[in-house]
Amino acid sequence: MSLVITHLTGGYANVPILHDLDLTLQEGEVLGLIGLNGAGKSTTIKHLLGLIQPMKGKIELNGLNLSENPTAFKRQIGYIPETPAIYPELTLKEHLQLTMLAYGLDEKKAWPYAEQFLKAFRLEGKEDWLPIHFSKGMQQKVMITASLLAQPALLLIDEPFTGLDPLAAEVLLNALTQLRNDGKMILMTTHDLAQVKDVVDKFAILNHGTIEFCGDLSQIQQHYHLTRQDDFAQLYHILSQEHIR
Amino acid sequence: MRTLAQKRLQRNTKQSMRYLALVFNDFFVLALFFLMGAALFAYMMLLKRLPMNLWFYKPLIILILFLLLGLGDAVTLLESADRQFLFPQDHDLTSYLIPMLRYSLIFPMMMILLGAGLIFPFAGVKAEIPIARYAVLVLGLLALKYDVILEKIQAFSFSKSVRFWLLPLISLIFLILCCYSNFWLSILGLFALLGYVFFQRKQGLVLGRFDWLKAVQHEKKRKHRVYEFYGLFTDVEEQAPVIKRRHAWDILLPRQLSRETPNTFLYRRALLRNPEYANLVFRMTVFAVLIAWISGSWQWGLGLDMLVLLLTVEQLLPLIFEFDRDLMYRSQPISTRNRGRELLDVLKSVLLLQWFLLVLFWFLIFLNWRIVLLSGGLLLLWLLGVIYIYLPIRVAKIEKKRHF
Repeated sequence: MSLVITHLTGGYANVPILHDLDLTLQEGEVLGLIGLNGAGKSTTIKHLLGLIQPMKGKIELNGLNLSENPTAFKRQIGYIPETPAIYPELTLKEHLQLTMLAYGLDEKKAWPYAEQFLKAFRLEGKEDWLPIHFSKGMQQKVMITASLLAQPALLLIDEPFTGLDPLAAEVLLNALTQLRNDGKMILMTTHDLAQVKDVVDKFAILNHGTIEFCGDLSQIQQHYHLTRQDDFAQLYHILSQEHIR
Repeated sequence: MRTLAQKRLQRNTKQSMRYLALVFNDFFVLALFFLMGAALFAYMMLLKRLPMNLWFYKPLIILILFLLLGLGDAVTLLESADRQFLFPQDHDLTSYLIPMLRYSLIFPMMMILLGAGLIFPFAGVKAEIPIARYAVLVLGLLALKYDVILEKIQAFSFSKSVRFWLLPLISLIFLILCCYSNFWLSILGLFALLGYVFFQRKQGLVLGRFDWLKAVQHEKKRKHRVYEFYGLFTDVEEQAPVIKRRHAWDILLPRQLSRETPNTFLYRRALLRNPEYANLVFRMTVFAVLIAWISGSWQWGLGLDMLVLLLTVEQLLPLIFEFDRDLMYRSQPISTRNRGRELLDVLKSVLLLQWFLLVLFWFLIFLNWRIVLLSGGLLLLWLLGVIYIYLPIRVAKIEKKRHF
């Protein structure tokens, strides 16, 4: 299993945000995509989801190409957006049922798996409610549960901890560790390096739409000459100065 | 603040005019004209037949006029962003709210004058309320409405404690006084009322700290009601539909998940819970029943109902693209290749449900099994033609048009 992005150039309205981006992810690997606002993190994810068309380059997931077989390609991807994208017409239970239908999951097997997250996220008993009336944090828990339920080959997460309380963040981190152990690939954008450092295998620093550096935390600290342990604000200061230059 | 109020009022008037032009289109005005004509003729006939001065006439007039007082609401045109940007403007809010108060009075006062004018023949001739006393009563109603709106605006202040029972009580006392006493007592009542209104006005519009949250929420609800009215006749772009859970309607959903595809799953729930679609089906079904009833003959009823069902399904076709802007719909593995056919599967159920309801009502209207069986059979044949011949062509066309 692998995700291979080669020479990807893309953006919005013919204005490229990503320039010749190369990225590879192997089975059981977790990659943290980091960078300043506007560096192209979410744009990369949108390209992987097929929400925008690449201007150049290729994206392959387990040998499948998005443009050739979009449904089969998407079946291998789960997505947790930064802002919850709830279907207003569906109840919590129906969100999970729709995920089962879309991913072709067996309802009998999928339910016990979903229930363990509903319990951990304290959503039990709310299955019949419309999540559109939930708080943002609770809506995010619905999104996470639905995405984890699919157990996709590649999980894409945009700012995973936005709006989550510390307990829910812990549940998510545990689930991500489990997925990694099961050989799934995870690509997440985040600013909170300290929170994810135990789950993430390597970080890719995105700057001006290209991968500037890729490596584990110690390599990043070495490369950017970070003097203060676990103080990643320093890294953002360096990136910001590079950005100005 | 005054300039801001005037700008917003201008924008609101422009928007209202645009929607009113759509609501009162030529067809609707013509229908309304005939309907009003028929109603006024029936009213005139009724007045001729009614005996003089029965005991319940005056209570009935009091009830109608009391209900008329309830029409209209305080318009503030406040927006959510005002909570942030106008928050430090409490002291200057009066100059914003005065034009709003005046604007708020236009619709209810028109309705009071219209309602009172319509009731006048009944009140004057049958209930024997003299014209002078009736005029006092109408003036009092206008003053009362002014006070209702005034107090509604004052209630947006933290320091104003609203006594919700007081104004309805005053209104009732005044109406009883005008209907049952003499002219001079009515005049006295009117002056007392004007004194009360003057006292309320003297207090000012903003009494202490302004409750922004309450005022903004109130305006949101008011706008929602107005848009709902427009929404009965036309699409309202400013109004996001409020999805309703409607537990009882779950009975119409298939029990087994295996019988669904992601698209049919979504379409069914949109039809049941999105008022834009659910209300359309409801309205058109009621319209079909009414038109069959009014037409008087089963042949006309059948023909018109065939048209109504076709119009219903035509208006439901945009449902095919309903989820295209949903992020999850676009990122989840949901195939759009066969969704036209999948929508037709769902619409088939809607049309058959409408057919069943219509046949049921036809039986109640015509009370003749033979007619109901014949017209029901013909309507079913028509529906099958619509479902299996007409709709697949229409859906293919719509999808092709969207694709290019």
